[in-house]
Amino acid sequence: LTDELVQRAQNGDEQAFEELVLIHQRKVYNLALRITGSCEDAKDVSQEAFLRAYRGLPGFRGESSFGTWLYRLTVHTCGDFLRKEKRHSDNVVPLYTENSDGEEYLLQLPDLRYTPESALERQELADAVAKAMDEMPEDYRSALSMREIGGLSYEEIGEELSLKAGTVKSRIFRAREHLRKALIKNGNFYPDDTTKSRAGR
Amino acid sequence: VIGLNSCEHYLEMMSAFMDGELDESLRAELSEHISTCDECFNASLAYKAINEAISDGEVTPPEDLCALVMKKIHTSSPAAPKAKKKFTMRHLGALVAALAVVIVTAVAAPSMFKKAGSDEAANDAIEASPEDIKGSLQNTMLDGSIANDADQDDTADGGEVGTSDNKPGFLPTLPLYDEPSDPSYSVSPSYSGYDGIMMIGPRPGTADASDVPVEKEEDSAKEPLGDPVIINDYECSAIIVLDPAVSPPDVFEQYTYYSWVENQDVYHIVSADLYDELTGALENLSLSYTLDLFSELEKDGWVLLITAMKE
Repeated sequence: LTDELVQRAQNGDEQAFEELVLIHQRKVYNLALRITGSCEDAKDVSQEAFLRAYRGLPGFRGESSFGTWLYRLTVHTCGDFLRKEKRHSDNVVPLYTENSDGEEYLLQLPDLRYTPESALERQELADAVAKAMDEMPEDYRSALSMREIGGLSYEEIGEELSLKAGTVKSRIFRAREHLRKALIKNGNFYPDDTTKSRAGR
Repeated sequence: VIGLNSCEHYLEMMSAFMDGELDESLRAELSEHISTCDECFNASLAYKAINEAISDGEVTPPEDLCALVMKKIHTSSPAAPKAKKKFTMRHLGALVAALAVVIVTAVAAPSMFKKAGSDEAANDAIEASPEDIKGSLQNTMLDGSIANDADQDDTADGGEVGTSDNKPGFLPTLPLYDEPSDPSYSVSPSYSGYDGIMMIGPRPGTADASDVPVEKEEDSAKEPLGDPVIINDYECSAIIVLDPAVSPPDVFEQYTYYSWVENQDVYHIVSADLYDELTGALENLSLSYTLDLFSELEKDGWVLLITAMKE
């Protein structure tokens, strides 16, 4: 169905394109939201991404799925947006770099077990993760969002961010660690009896 | 007791595993470790929870998003993707391949050309008042001159491209295509849908441009020129010269990403944003801004001219 819509849209059928927008707007918007960290920006960036997609349709040759192509384009658009933002705010300092948080890991972590038991707990955790993602360095946020929301492979992410796949792997790992630690600190992950948790596995 | 650094190694493996990116040969090792290390076991549960939470955290996009997109398409895109002839990026690839450097007098920035031939002239031009330049722009004087890098082999896809012509008053003939005439052409396999002409080249006099006969520009740039030229229904008042064979200077990095151009070799030089900014600046006669941008780029050794296009 998507293929057909894409083809029609490529032939100038605006209605077909509109349908594609409706199908993909959730992913595109959420991707933009995660990367930019702001609803307002995400709305703008999503529009721009779709506009670019529309203009770029003739260049889409089905080498990847339309979704993948579109999400990559969304990430590009976010990247453009963030670069512009950066130009206007030179005081942005990365919280830490890839190689400087090795020490951090020496921190003794309590044993933890996460067991979401209710919808409410799930929602709480989702909110906490969203918040922690917003506070995460942009590099990490982009990479993890591209993976988790856009569903891109490491290689595809690497192409988008001009990184080697190995660096993407490391960045996504660090993003997860960052989130995990933030959630521990925030009390979303709580200690549990390790023995018990293992027995329950 | 397993050291934490070693655990970090396993957690990274776990992270990759969850993304389906862990080498098969390492899975047994990871599994072995997780089964004995409580910390890593717990961390892996946390990772899973985080993944789920990210999906749970997806929100519904604003209701009017789709409508806004469609509205934008109507207002900012002159036509459906294939509704009219376009000088597409694919064609640009052909053009650029055929030309070492293309230079067309930019009405807003004659300094660029003069710089090409003489630093003195460039300094003069930089000191020109915005009013002067504005006047110049309003006259929309135009000259086109293509310096063909001497009979390059690559004119198959754009025979007319290399036509060298210094007569004032009109642009050199540019190839107009509906579809690429040579499907095997591979310089820029993914280019498309660009309704303009953007080219950037190394400033003549810098390493890669030593053999480009740009000196010719100096004369023609001073002459009064004719009306804007229509190319593919667009009124062109200048052209950006771009050479994908040359790495972009750092200053370009912030204008990177021509988003739907997937070819890694070139996309980072071509920029929708830069294009928008420059054309926007030209159209609105925000000359000081345009010139700032130009000189910023120029400092990095780039000749930059632009097509200001109108329907």
